[in-house]
Amino acid sequence: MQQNPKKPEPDEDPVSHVDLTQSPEEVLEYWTKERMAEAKPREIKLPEPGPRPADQD
Amino acid sequence: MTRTRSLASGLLTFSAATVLALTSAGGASAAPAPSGGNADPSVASVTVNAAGAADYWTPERMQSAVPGDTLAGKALERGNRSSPAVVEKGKPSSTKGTKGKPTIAQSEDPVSHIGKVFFTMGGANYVCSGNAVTSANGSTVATAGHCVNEGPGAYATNFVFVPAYDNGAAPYGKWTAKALYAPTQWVSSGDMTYDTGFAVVNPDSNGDLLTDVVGGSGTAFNQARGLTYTSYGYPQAAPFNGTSLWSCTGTASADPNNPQFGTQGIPCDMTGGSSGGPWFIGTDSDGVQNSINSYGYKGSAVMYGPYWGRVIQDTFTRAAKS
Repeated sequence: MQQNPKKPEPDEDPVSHVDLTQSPEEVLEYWTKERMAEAKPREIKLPEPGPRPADQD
Repeated sequence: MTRTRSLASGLLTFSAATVLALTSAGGASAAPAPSGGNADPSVASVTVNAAGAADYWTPERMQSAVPGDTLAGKALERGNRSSPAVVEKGKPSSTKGTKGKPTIAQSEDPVSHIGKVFFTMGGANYVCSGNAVTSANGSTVATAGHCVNEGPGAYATNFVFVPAYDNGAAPYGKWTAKALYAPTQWVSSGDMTYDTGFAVVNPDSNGDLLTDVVGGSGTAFNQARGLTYTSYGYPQAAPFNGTSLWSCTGTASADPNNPQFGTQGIPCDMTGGSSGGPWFIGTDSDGVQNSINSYGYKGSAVMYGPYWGRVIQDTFTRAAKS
């Protein structure tokens, strides 16, 4: 994740999407009990914030 | 009879099963034996290697572990029971119980429209949380942008929503996605301001639509800041385990560390796995959804969510009409 994102172009569509081509059967077959149990949490944990300027000596 | 069996079961679950498992793993240093010297000859002990035990318990081994009751039953069959006449009675004694570290998050019963989402991204399998929302297509799930797209980068594949997930059970089935939506500014540059995504799912095998089966939450956009919210999710990282639903309630305030995100935070210690879980205005899951679990800071018990303004509203509208 970037901390300084670029500004969108004026004529850029603000909404992005993708159509998935996989069949429901294919996806359901993929998610075995084992794969579900081993899936990792996807999380965003930012670094612990340092002291703010006002808190510094 | 029942009482005797329960007591035996409890003791053997802890002692025999543990020793057997650790011995097999090479984690125990020796078979249990009476301690030497001045130790009480009626007490046996064994030294175990904690690291070995942790390595030993793979998800597969935990799943195939035999219930301790089986071992208790075998012990009773062997008939190795002491006569009441030889059981010595000592002085009455007791010890105080202890509680684990309390969490801010509260345990919840499953809610039909809230669930877990599973997906593949960059070759790895991930889990987040999500919520079915009322929509024109009856098939829209709200979650985090980082649970549908790398931000910036590629979209997820193998995306499936499991409403009311409860310890491996999927009471309303698994709903596969046919399209994923996110704000362009999330997809092109991972702008935390827009960390929200929507999945449009296929009908189930009966042809029924998602919200006709599990219901759906209303949505709200462009609301006042500083509202009271209740967020839900399936935190998986310790001290949670991802098996059940949890919630946090609090009044939102701006992120003092990165005010440019425009996000708001509530007191909450839910961990990874809760990402994408819904924020409802008010104090329960009947409220309208107005954000999602997005991010936190290391060493801080605050969960932040994006402000649902016009861009996220447009993203929802496009997904809901597709």
